[in-house]
Amino acid sequence: MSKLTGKTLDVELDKLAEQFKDMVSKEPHSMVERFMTILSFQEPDRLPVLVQIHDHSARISGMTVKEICTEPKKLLYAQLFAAVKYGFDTAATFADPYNYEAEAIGAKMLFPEDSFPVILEPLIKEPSDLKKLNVPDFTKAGRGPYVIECTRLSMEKLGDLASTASVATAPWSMAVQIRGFNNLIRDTRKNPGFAHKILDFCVDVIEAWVKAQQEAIGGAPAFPALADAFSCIPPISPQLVYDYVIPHTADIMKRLGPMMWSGGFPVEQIPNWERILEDVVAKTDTMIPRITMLESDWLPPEKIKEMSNRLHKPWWFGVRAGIINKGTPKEIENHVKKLIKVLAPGGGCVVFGDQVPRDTPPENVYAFVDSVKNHGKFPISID
Amino acid sequence: MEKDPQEKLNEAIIGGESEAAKKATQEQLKAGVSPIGIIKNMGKAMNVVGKKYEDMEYFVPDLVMAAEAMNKGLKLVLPKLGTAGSVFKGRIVMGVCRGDVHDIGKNIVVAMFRGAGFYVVDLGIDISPQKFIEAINKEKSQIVGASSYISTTIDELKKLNEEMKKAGIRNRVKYLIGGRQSIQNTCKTLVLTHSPTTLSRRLGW
Repeated sequence: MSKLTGKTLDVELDKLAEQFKDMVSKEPHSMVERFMTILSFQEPDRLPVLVQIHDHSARISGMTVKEICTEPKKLLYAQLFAAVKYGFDTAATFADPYNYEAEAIGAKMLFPEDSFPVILEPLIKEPSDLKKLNVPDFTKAGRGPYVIECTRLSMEKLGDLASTASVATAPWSMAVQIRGFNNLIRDTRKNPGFAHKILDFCVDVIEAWVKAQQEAIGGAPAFPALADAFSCIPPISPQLVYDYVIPHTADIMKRLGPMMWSGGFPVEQIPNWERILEDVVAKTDTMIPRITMLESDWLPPEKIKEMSNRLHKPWWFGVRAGIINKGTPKEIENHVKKLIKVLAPGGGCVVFGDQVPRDTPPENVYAFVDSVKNHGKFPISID
Repeated sequence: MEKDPQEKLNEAIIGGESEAAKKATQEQLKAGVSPIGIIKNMGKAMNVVGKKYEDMEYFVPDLVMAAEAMNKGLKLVLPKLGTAGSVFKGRIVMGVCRGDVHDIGKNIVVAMFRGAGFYVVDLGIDISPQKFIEAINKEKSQIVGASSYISTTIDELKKLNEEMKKAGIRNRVKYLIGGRQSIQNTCKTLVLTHSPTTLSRRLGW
């Protein structure tokens, strides 16, 4: 457990907030300004430095993962610590976005000290269990209050520099959490109507969750996002994406408006992957598709750039954690530089560091940040 | 024309139909087919499943359903085998490491090893190095398989390796790791890149 508690934590948190504001205010533009410029297919002064860095931020700031996942001040402290240390342009206000909804409707959780919370068992063991579940009041249920407080605290400490992302689990991934992967797959084969009912319920819950977060910040956030790692291919099949993932993701976006979405895409080179990628984006009205190649770099960034320009859809392209974690600083720089050269010109694409693991050497994180700041200045050098 | 039970069992496993697999297994046992013979046939069906996955005709859900179907039939067969060493190609202890509960891949691999003729003790999820070592000693297993999916549990795979060394058993146990973290970070994923039949040849079984 961290030694930082009580008044000492308050004092140190305020110090970090001031350091972050001081650092970021020296920049000619904020992260949001740069991001919005890129989304409108124009070129800002440079790419924003965006890194998803949760358990690593806990480690370097002296917190446990359990602490950052349950205590708002400690989450913000860890995020600001990492942001100031490494020079990020923003600090997140969430840690484990895949669990909040399931927990709020009653899922039993395990909170290990140094790894993310996990759901112990499916909520819906039998079909009749679905009827027992209700859309919760997120201002009171589960860790809804914790997430809302994280955002409120960030706004209090950082003002306009606060991140108000509003992250939620997408319908398919939430259904996996509350029904269990095997059970849900079996439902899609033996009882597809019930599978859709589970997903309909998930859509209702997610809508309530995003709206609760929006109300907490006094309006719709700039970048509402849906996390959907369980919907990638081949962890599920293309047919499941078309039959279940796309319709229910489209439904939530109809209710809430276009959102960022990290789901439905192939993480391996499967037949017809281009068609699937385009359908996933087009049929859900995703505001910003987010894509990360998990284990290999088979997906040519040139293809993402071409698709982005042709569909006039901005993309968020993740530098995979394995490279940042295990590469040398030079390898990381070269990899990021290569991606920037292809994706950044003309706006429309953001390069971000995806889920930096806990044990990543700090010099590797610095290498990523420096590479984005040095090579991500517009106009992008083509050398 | 009615299909024979072996063909029905193959189709049930390849199609991921658990109840059909159970029924076909019962029919084979009733017809006097040897348990080891049934398991060998299950293994062949799982190899077909594995090949379809490599050819990207099947995806993870198909593997999961096939594994379930096979396990449904195995539950009827295994009690008739006993645990005599000569019956099996080898003995494996498998589990998901401490702090992790993601077991989809592990369950598939357990089924594939059983189909390939290994005696597999599935420890389940959130298994400490001590529990792995206790099971290795109790079951006299030659192979241990551990998986890690979330980034914070990669250290557990390394800890198990160290603890096995401290317990003096590392030299006699082959250690397989699997899961997303092993792919991203550490070692060869023998289990995920080779069928159990190939793996058993590589291991010299």
